[in-house]
Amino acid sequence: MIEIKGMKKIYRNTDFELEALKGIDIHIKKGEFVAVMGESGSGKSTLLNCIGLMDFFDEGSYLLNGNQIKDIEKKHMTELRKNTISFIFQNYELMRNYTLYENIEIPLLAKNIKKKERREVIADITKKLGIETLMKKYPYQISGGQQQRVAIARAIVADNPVILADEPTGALDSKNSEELMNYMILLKEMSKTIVMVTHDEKIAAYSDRVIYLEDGKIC
Amino acid sequence: MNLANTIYYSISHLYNKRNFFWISLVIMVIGMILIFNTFIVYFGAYSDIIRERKLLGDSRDNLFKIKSTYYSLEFSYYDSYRNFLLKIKKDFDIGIYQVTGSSLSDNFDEKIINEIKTQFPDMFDPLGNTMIFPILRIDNNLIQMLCFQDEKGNKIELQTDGKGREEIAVGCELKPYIKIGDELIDSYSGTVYVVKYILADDQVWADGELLNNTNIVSLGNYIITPFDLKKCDSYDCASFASNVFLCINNDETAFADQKIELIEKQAEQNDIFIDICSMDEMEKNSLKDNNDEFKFCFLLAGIMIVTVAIIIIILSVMSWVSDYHDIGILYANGFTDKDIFRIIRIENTFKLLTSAVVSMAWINIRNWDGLMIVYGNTAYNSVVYAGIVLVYFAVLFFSSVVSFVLINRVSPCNLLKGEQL
Repeated sequence: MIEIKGMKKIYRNTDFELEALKGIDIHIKKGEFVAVMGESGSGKSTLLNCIGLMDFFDEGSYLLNGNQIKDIEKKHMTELRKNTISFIFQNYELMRNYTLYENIEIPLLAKNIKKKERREVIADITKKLGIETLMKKYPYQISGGQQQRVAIARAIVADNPVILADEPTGALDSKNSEELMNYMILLKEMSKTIVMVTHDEKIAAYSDRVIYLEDGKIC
Repeated sequence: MNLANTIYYSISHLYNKRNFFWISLVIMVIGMILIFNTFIVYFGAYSDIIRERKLLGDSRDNLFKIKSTYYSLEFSYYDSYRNFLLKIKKDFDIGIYQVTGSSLSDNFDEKIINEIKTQFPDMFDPLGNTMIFPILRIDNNLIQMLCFQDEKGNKIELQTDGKGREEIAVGCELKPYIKIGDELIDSYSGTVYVVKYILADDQVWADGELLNNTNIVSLGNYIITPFDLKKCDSYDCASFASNVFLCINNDETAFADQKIELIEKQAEQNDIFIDICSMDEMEKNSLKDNNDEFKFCFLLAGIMIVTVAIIIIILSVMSWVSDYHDIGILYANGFTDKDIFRIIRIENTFKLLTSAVVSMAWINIRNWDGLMIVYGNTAYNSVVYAGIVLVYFAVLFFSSVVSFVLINRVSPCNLLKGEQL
């Protein structure tokens, strides 16, 4: 599903250059749940952004769901991201001025799903996650745990094969963290490929495999 | 993303960013109306000349203007005046008269009022329960020329103090009711009329055409009030033009020479004059007179267009640039560059259409017909308006491109981090 060889990412500024990824090799199979761990600044989030096509890498090759990313046009890259990858972020990344329903609806709009179908899909998922009564509320009107469930709902409705989670429990208490991880297991059972960045050993224990990063390298 | 979903999201975004939308809309509408009105001023001034040209056709040499200290009029009675004006070909003055009626009140007792009612039933207005006296407003030059006399044979000369008190002469039939020294008050204007003369009983007036002496009527129940030539307003000037027309209309009569002589005699010490000039001269003069105004109008319209354009671009870009985090979320959830650019364009098109409809409605309510942009015989309001909308369209398209370029410069993950555009 995800095959990375020699991936390098260099942040350039007028004053300095920082090599965030120093030749990463990773192979993740379809339906695998992989945790990426490492110290702050080890390159975890950079790796996740590159895997998620949210940022470019400088060297190496990357095969995503059979598509070679290295020389892909930006237009095709965004199409590939739309149809392959969903994100779950540490701080939920919900749009503040939009209702929860509108937030969940975004990936469905991007995929040209019709209004009626959107409504049905969202109703189904939100019911499973127990947030169906919150749909008219705004993100600032609900708790952190609820916000993260909305973010999960948004990732699920997109029905993409790859889920990338960047410290999804980082802003949650232990109870909500455990609940979230149960949802992640649920996603795995739905044959989703999951790559989760975390610095918490307990959370990482839910995964099939843990990759440790240190100073931009796998160790 | 398909069009339906794009429009759906655009509306949602507009609603959630409605502050920007309202501000943009108000500025765009005000800009459209102001720019349109500025063009009205410019084209209005210029189209007068074009209209004159069209009206004149081959008679381009026959044109006159009437001016006073307080008002300026340009008339188009070319055919009626052609021969006369060609003959005169110089500046001249003419007297003014005006026949009207006024509701006057006095300390008349009931008995006198009843007598006047009985004697002059036509003067009584049963609706307002008032007496409307026939008034002849006439300038002193004309009074002297017509040799109006009072009952003692004196020549009449009436003065006005310019402060709402005017001397008047009263027809002899009103003598039993009104005496010299009486004060009558115009119930409409508040002017106080002081009776100075009682007219001789043989004084007459030509109803409609003074100088031709047709339809002679007695001045028995008239009140003569002075007409201050030096303070002609627009209404007075119109009366004056009417007088001239009546005089000249009888140019073929035996009185023609006398009329012209009479008119010429009055061509001294007066602020009202007729200026005869050719169409070319008028065009040159008008362009010269209005040149600064034209420049100002164009400059003003230009400044307004540029100002409104800058504000629109800033607001349009701001409404997106302030959304950098949300745009990052959109990218992360499958929106493409194409989708974002399309949404920006749809929103700007919506703003454009709304502001065009609102400003058009406003102008219509405020009297579209009164703001005609005429060039020749054709009204160009719609063309000018469409031009303004087109300029707006270009500005909004530019702002869409600017917004998109700024967004596109930053990678989605940096947008999510909240990096400034």
